[in-house]
Formats: sequence, structure tokens, C-alpha cells
Amino acid sequence: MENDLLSKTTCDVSLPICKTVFAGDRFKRMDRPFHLAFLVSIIEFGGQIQIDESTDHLLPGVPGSVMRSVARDLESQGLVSRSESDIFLTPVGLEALKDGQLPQSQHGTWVVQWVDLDSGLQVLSVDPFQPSIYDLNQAKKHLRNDYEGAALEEVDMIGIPQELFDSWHLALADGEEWSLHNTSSNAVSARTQDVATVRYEVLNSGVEQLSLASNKGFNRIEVESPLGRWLSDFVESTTPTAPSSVGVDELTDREVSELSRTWTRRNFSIGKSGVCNSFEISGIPVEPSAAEAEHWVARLITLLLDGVPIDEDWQAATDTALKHHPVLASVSEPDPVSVLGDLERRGYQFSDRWWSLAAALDWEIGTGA
Amino acid sequence: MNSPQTTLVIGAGSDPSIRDRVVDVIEGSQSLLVVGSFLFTSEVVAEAIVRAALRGVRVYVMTAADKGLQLTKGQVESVDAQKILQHEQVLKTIIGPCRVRSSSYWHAKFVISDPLTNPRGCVLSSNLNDTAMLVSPEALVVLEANEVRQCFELARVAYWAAESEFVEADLLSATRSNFPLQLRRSSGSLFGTVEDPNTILTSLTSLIESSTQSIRLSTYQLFGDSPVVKAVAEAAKRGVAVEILLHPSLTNLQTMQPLMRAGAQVRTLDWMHAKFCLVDTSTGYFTTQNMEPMSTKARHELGLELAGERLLEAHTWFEHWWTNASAPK
Repeated sequence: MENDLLSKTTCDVSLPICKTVFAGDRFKRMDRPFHLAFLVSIIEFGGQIQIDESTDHLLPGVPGSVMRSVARDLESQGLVSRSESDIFLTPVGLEALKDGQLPQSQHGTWVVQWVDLDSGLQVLSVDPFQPSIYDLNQAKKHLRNDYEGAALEEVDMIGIPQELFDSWHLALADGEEWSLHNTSSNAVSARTQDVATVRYEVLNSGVEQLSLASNKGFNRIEVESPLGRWLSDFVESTTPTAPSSVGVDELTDREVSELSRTWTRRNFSIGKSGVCNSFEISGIPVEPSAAEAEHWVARLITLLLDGVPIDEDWQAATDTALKHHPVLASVSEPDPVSVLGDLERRGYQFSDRWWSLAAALDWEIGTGA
Repeated sequence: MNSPQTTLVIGAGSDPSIRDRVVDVIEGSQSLLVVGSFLFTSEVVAEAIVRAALRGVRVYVMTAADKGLQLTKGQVESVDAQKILQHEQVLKTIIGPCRVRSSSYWHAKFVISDPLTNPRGCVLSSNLNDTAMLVSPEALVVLEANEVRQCFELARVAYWAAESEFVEADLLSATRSNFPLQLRRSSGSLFGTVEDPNTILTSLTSLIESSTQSIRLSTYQLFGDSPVVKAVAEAAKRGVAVEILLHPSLTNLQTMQPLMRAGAQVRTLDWMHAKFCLVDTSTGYFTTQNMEPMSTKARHELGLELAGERLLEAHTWFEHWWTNASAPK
């Protein structure tokens, strides 16, 4: 993510690239949702749109005069500008969206990168904030278990909850100026529109760290701020009990999976090479020979083999563990037919692992499908 | 006029309908179902597919990419914005329970089940679209067991060479890398364009060139620079009785003029979309491909040689449509 953003900031654009996060579902509660949908559609079309395109997009079959009326109304409010048949979103229009008027909630959170031109606003990219594979699979299960009634938007989009993004978004929207200091004491002033992406982490050492990637560069910063404290409280309240004190045998597969996922998200670190040569649980180094850790990893390996999605961090960790434990590795090549049946019995039909095995069997293509 | 009641070649208006036959294959599937369609808008078929998936059938769907449809928007008369929206909505209902891959060069339509254990299936001229399957001049041809297996092999190569895969209902543009598979050849009456985009056009041209008595040709699009057109015109000039059924599009109206001057009889029928080439009452061909120019671009179409009962039934349907068609205006 950072690399992508940094490479974009070095492209031939002399204007600051701004990044705005739309999140939440307040869109539905707005007084004039259609006007807002129109504004959103301009973003979807890259910052400018033609009446015909917006009609096709939002109200197929409705006379263009209706849409022209909406456009005039928005223009009178300064939210859009017009040039011949093109309609541009203005920075004021974007602000209106940023104040909480949002794209359809089914799209979750969107990240919009844009530049402010004299003629209006040019959208560089609109990317959905991607849910994790785990959440996608949860969504699939919802789809399978309650096909008629389930909707993807009912599933949490990611481990970080919606409120967090709302809070972050509002903090930025309020124009709060952040005075932050990186670890080498070079002052960095990151104003709202300079902030491209922010990642908040609590390191094993307990240091809170904010990673900022912006058009000014990339910095990791120790942070002490209202948002940082809020996040810290949030993390504190949701960090699960360390595995060593849980009693792994007493947990269900689902609990092991979910607990590990949350646990690793908070406490796991991976070297730059992407390979985990050692790992810790709640700041405590884990010896590969430690019985509790071995037991826990063994459960995770079983889940991984069964196609239960685990964080990539955990994948690296278990790869390492497998390397140290040939005995565990010996269970890594089960009969695909029996694994397929076992996955179905345990409710993991349609998981990535299930499809991978099914496709390999059905089409004789190997397990890489 | 009542529609012909046939069993192996089914046209719109039949009872059971084309859609009924498609759903029948889906509902009869036991462990594996493969579906291909350029456009997929039928909720009835989608619901049947999902029911199959939920009872344990592994369902693979191949369709045209949303990107590919956008490219043809405005160029293909039958594909309008509303249908594209329906296509996307229907895909959203099957992604997850079914594995869906897409490619902008996909055009073949078929439904096959259990190709290795209890092969059943059909190839269609129509997309999985309710109006097309129930009303328009379309056709479905029931496949024999070995043809189902051939279709599965062709699909195997095309499916895994597809440009993208829809991994989640809200991630229509998500992609995974493709990987090429070698076609395992087998003899039979079903042909695909997996290895050579001109396989079907070449076969049709040869078939027409061999004609001595009659040619019955029906298609949705007939391009003037197609080798098929040239072969038909030559046949008409040498005295072969030629009957051509076309959808009355501007392109077709232009193409048919020299053919009529060469002696071919031409009639038009709205949304004529079934693609047959029936030669000398003894041989015939059904295809998903329009009569296009030769191409170097990869694309996926199917062609099926017809003989025996299927050929007779194809003639029955051609005569039915011919009777209901009108002279070009």
C-alpha cells in the first residue's frame, strides 16, 4: 500500500494528491440522497460526468431533463460546475461528501485520491477499502447459510470497525492540524490534505506508532494524540487474552481461528523479508519447543490445512513452525477428496481451500487453481 | 402457427421451453456442472444453479467480462445497458456458491453436467436470457454423451485461460492469474475455437463449397467480408438453391444485397439468432458463432455437426421460421 502511494506521489503531478476516506452508512439518512448519489456518481466517473452517463448510471430510462434539473440545483449550490455537456465535481462538492454523505453502504469504505485543479476536481482513483479474505469467507458463509436473506453489507468489512474509520475521518474533516514527531526528532507537520494513508500500530514494546505515507514522503512516527489514545483504548479493549492462558484445547476451531487472527494483528511482527524467523505472543518470545505454543500452532496448522483463512502473518509463522517441526509437516499432504468432504462437513464449503481442491479434482489441473 | 414439437433441437415456443431444458440439465446434475454464456440475465436459471450448488454440486460458470461487455455496448444491438446491469446483478447472486470466471472473448453458450460420470448437456444459440430462451428465434441442441465430454475438454482449456475470476459479489473486477492448459484432442462432432479462432468458419465454408443442391443458412450477423458469404454467393451462382434467414440489421441488409443478386432467397425475422447451416438435406452445422470475417483474435465459440434426427429437426425449425419470416424491405 505504501509503495503504491509513494509511487503515485512521484508521478508528474505538481499538485498535492489528496486522499479522502468515505465511510459509514449515513448516506441513507440524508435529506436528499439522490443529490448525493449524483455527486458520488461523478466520483465514480473520475471527477466529471455527462448527463447521459449519469442518467444511465442512476436512473436508466428517466428523461435527461430530470438529471439536468438536479445538476442545475447542485450547480447553484456550488457543488458542481459545468462546461458544455460535462459536469465537474468541485472541491466544495467533495467537502459535502466528506462531511458524511457517503456512497452506498454496501460498498463499505471508499478511499478516493484526487487533485484540485482550477477547473474542478480530478479523481485519480477510487478504491474500495478491501475487506480481508477472512471477512470475504465469512460473507460467503452468510450467503450459503441464509441465501435468501443475507446481504454482504451485513458482514463486518474488516477487523477494524466502522466507528474507527468514522472517527478518523471526522478528525481529519474537522481540519485538525497534527503536529507529529518521528523517531529521529525531525518535525513533521501533516496537515489534513497531506495525509495519504495512516496506519496505527502498538508495537510489542508498547510504543504507539503512526505510519504516514503522503506526498511529502513516508514516515513512521511515535504518536501521542487524542486519536492515538482513542485507538489505544480501542486496541486495549479488544486485544484477546494471550493464547498461553486460554487453554487452547478448550476452544472451538472457530474460536482458535478468530482469536489467533485478532491476536496476530496486534502483536505479530514480520521481518522485511516477509519471512518470520521468530515470533512472540503478547511480547513474549516463543520458543519453538514451548509446549503451549507448539500446541497452539498445531491447531492453527490444522485449520490452515482445512482452508480456514488465517492472517498472512500467521501463514509465515506456521511455515516457520513447520520448518522446525517435521512431525507437524508430515500432516500437510492429506488426501484431497477426504479433505474436501471434511471441509463440507465442518461448514467450510465454498472456502478458497475448498474451491482449490474441488477445481483440482474436477479439472485435473493440480492444486494451484 | 404452432411451434414444432421436437426433442433434440428445441426452438423458442417449444414446450418444454429452451429454458426448461436448461433448468432440467442443471437440476439433474449430481456432482459437477459447467455453464457458459456470453450474457447471463435469467434469474430462473441462476436460482436453479445456486440450488444445485447448495445441494453439493460444484458449479463453474464462464461468462463474458463486464469489461468486454462495456466494449461492445453500443455496437451489439441486443446488448443494451439494462441487460448489462441485469447480467451483473445475476452474477452477484451466484458468485460464492459458484466459481465464476470471465473473459471478453467468451461467446459460446452451453450447459453440461457430470461429463465424466453421467454426461448430459446442450449447446445453445441463445444467451441465458429469459426473452431469448422463451420468445426469440433461438435454438438449443441436445448433446450426446461424447459431445458433452468434448465440450467439457474445450471448456477446461478456455475456463482456465480466462482473464479474470469473480471472487466476491462486490469485487466484480477482481482477477486471478490464468494458466494455459493443453487441449486433449478427441474425435467427435463438436468443435471449438480454443486453438484456432477460424475452425468453425473454415468448416462452414468447406461445407458450403461442397453443396450441390441446397443451402439453408440462418444467423444473427452476416458480414460481407466473411468467407461464408463468399462461398454462399458462389454456390448460388452455380445453381444451388440458397435460403438465408437473417435478423434485419443494417449490416445484414447490406450484406444480403449481393447474395440476392447471385440468386439467393433471403428473408428476415426479428431477432433471428439461431445459427444453422444445413446443406443438401444430408449434412448440417449448428454454431454459436456469427458469420464473421476470418480473425486472428482468440475467441471461444462452439460448432456442432448435425446428422440423423437432429438434422431433421433442425430443418423443421428452419422451415417454421422461414414461414414466419418476411422478404427484406
